[in-house]
Amino acid sequence: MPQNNKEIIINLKNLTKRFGSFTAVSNFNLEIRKGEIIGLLGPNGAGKTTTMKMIARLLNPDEGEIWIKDNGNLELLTGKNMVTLLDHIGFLIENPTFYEHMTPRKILSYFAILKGYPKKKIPKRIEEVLALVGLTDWIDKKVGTFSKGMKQKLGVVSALIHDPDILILDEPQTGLDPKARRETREMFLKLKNQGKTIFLSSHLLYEVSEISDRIAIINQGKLIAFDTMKNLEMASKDIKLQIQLMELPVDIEKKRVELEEIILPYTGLKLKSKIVSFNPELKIFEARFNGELTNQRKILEELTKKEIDIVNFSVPRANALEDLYIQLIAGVATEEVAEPQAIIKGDRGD
Amino acid sequence: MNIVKEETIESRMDKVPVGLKKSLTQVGATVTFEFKRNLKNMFISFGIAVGIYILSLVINLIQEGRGAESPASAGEYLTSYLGMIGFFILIIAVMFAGNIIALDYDKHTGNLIFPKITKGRLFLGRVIARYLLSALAVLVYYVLIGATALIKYGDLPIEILASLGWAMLYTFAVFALVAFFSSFLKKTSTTIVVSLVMMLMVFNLGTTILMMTGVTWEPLFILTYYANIITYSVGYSVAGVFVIGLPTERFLEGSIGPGVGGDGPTFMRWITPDVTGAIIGMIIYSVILIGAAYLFFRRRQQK
Repeated sequence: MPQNNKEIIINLKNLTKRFGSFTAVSNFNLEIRKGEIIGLLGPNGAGKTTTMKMIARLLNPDEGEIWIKDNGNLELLTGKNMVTLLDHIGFLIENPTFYEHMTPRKILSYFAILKGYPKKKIPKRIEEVLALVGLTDWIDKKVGTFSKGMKQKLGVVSALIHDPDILILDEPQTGLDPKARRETREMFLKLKNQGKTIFLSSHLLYEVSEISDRIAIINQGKLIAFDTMKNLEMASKDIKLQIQLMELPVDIEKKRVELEEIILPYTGLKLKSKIVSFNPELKIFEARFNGELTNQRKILEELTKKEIDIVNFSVPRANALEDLYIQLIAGVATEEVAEPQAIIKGDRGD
Repeated sequence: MNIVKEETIESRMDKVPVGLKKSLTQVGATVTFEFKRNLKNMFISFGIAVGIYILSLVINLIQEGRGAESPASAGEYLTSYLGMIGFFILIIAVMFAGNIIALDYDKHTGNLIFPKITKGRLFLGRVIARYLLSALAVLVYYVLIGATALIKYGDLPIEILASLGWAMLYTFAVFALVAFFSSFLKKTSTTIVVSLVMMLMVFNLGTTILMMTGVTWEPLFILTYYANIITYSVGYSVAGVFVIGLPTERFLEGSIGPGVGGDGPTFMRWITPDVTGAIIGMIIYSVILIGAAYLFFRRRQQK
């Protein structure tokens, strides 16, 4: 199903928030469709949290509007209807701080009652959501004894406790170890499969690129890119292809030159040198190309034809995103990079 | 990782309380949660009540040990324990109302609470729960001193109930003042310091200035003035005789200068408000401060 056929359930129009003379968010526009995961990427202080706080009405926008779907219609979010409109949204804003002397059972029970979850089902629901993040054994322990990662997990489940349709999560994976990050990624995908919509912010490119249907990049309060992962990769026009050889050559430079000669005609880039480099940390060669699948296939064919002994040939998605992210954030618009505005306007779908 | 979807959102939402029922459910849940959250503070407040009681008891015992005449009646004996009631109430109010709002912004706990509940309902639930806990601590103190007087004298003046009533009303007024500061000050610690300075210094300074300048207004706008009725409602001493109930003369006149009744400027010291003035004054104080606290809280935004 193409993305643009899905119904819009949150629409942010020209959102602007100022703190004195500092503009934290400026004319921010974003449409969130039902059932998709949208990742909001940006450096520290870019305006991610401020945007989410405005949706949660923790901050009132100075300009702009927030429209949220309710009973089949998009309704303008105001102070009067916020309780109704935000009722089916679960929020996790900033690093969660809990009351230290309370236990997850007491806190989640309170939140569930506030959100109108059926009282009889609350104990079971609490056990379910805590099991999701592996905190079952900590259900009656005081939050003050929790690690930062455990508090973060509790923050995520506190947004989930009332089984909302929409989840708005600000840096949900911050402070989590790799295993926990993987588990939360899987959890988000499962929630998506249940029809839930997730809008999450992060500075962890890999986490976002792995699960998001569309990615929005924000910098200095402005949306500078918003599209599908695939289209952003295409827009980057400068993707790193990782090539791992069976054995590391003795003369790396010689092999690099050899690879470059093979690959150069098929990169789709205007560059005529420095296409291939060696990554000493990963002990792999990296080749730049335009991200087109046809070019990628041709490069592989040529390398195989020349009997290069390859054991791994891949394009890590996060790398592509990272390149684009850095280009956009740094404001470097080389001739190889598409204009950021074009990335926002282009709603090319999958 | 199993997420069991047992029912549709629509079917679940049918059972969700709406309107007034939802408001009452949320306020009720907040009251219960606040009781649990402040359980530790409750025991500390009981500890403070016992501490102040023991301190007063020890002072009384030392005085009696040094040959001072024992109070002739239970009422007079009780007033010796009520000397520190104003300070005790202040400590209790600061303990329960100091972080009532400021904490949500100081430690960002508000990020989790909102927008699950409106600020109005949250504030109402918190005020109910925390005031009840404050009142409970005051009650514990009265039970202790009442029991002591009963053991010592075999009876208790009924006026102790009036004193308890005034203490409850005064507790709410002081609670409202602290909550007011908590609604706009950034940190809980700042709220506590400002509240203590206001109650222990600013109001007392105001009283002194009024007294020295010879102004004749009753200082009904000074919150600490209302604490006097808590003690005076039990009784007062005139020329060494303890009289039960509120004094008929509510202020003293004097002059500053050499000797009693000197030629210096006259001053007027108000002893206690009357019943009507105390009720109206404390209610007005409480309503204005709690109302202002709510309005500040409502407008306050998370940075």
